[in-house]
Amino acid sequence: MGEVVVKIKRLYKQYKNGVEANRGIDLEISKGSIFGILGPNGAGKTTLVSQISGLLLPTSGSIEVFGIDVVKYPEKMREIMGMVLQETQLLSHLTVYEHIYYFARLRGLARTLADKGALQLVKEFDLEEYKSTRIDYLSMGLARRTGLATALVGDPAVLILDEPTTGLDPISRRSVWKKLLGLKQKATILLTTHNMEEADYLCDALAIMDQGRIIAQGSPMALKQISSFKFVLSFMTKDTNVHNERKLKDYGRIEVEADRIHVFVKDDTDLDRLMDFLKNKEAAIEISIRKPTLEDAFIELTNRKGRLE
Amino acid sequence: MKMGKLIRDSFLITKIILLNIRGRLALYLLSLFLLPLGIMFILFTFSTSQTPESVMRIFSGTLVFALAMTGINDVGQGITTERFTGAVNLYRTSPISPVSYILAVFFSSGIKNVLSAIVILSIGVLVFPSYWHFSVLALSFLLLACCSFIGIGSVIGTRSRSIQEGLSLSNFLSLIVILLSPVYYDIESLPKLAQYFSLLLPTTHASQGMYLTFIGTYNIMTWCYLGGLIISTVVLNFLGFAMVKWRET
Repeated sequence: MGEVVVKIKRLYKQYKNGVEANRGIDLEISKGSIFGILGPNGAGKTTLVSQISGLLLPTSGSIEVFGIDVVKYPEKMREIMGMVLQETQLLSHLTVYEHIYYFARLRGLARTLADKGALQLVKEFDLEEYKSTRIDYLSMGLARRTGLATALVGDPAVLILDEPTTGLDPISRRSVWKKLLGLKQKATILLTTHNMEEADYLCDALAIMDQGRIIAQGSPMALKQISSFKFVLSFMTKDTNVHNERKLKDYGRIEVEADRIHVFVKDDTDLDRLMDFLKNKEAAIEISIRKPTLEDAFIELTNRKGRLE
Repeated sequence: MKMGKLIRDSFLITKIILLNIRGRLALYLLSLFLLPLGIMFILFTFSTSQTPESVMRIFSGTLVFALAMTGINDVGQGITTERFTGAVNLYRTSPISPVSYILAVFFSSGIKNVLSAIVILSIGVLVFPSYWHFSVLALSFLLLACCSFIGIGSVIGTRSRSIQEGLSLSNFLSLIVILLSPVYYDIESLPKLAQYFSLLLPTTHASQGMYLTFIGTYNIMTWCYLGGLIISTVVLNFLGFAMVKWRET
């Protein structure tokens, strides 16, 4: 673990309506890493990043970012961070260039530097073609890129991204991911997501949140190994009752997804036995075997698949 | 926060806010003047005499109407929209003081108010050149009226709990403060109880004060109206500034 630049201790947030959104969060984030906060809707992710960014006052606990006490001095935090909020919120009447330029100026950059910086970011984020286009005429993917470029003006030390790819098509999502990976050298990135693939692909470390608490923390690889299952065997079947058979359930946990059945198996022996069983039944077609994914580990940890999007 | 940065940020945000009306400037300005000017022409059409007093009553009323529409409606709706569409969040995540933002709202609305006033005064001076008594006091009434109406707009914008509430309140209150105060007539024409109530509204102090200064009357009432307008301006703007939340609790 590198130099710790974000330290959160015993963070509690209770809203006026009594909802406890964060319940005793402890977190440490290393410099130059991408740290992901995973969780279902309502887990408390946005509340947590809002407090880290100084937008929301915690009920109790401490937040220190690059030595700044964010609870006491939120205005100092704003000087070192860039933020992309959930559901890209931009000034839609400005052009892409103007948006980046004006926020560069508001970050204290002189006219020429702001102009130079804005043009460079427009180029870096492949927005040259849309430089003079008003933001309300952009697609969601382009708007997200504009939001990211705006958050990066003035080279902030910390970049906070609240669900940065929600609603994007796969191509735009990949494009944003590529940009984020390229930013690792420049800034420490904290992002919230409920996209497991995104968390697995981007993050060096992850915290899984549920009901206001962090229930697991570690690298994506380490979190996958939290799963008590070693393999996931999936197959299709014409026999609609096969998953109800008591015998099948003996091999592991079963999940039915449309016309596919997934069996979570604990070891090689169970896997071999299951294969034999399916062979004898002659009921299974298109059998595939894979390792548990982050999503599998997440579901096991939260045990509430129905809440996942 | 350094004063220089505070002022510079205010001007930058003012520019950002005003960029919202580029490309539709003419239409926007027309929408600002159309209703007050329309009412002014109707009043002139139906007025039986055109003495300096009656003409100045109509012009001072029209000015207050236009300034209140811009100050209350435009500012209230502007801040509400910016709050609920995320623009304010963008400023909140940048190293900007909330004072810069409110000053920017103040400046941008002030510019629109000045444009409104110039158009109405120009018409007045062109048509009735000899009726006007311009003075520093008249200008003070104009400026203070702008400021107090912007203050009402700021309070609505910062306190509304939804975009619909903010838009409706701005429309409703801008009309209410105009209708409940003697904008186009003398305060004495109102029933006694209504007179007391109307004295709580800055529109009353603004319209009565402007009328008196435009006809060249500087008596105790002129100064009382000025005092009332100063108090409402200070209170409303203090509330407007104090209610801007840069960090939620």
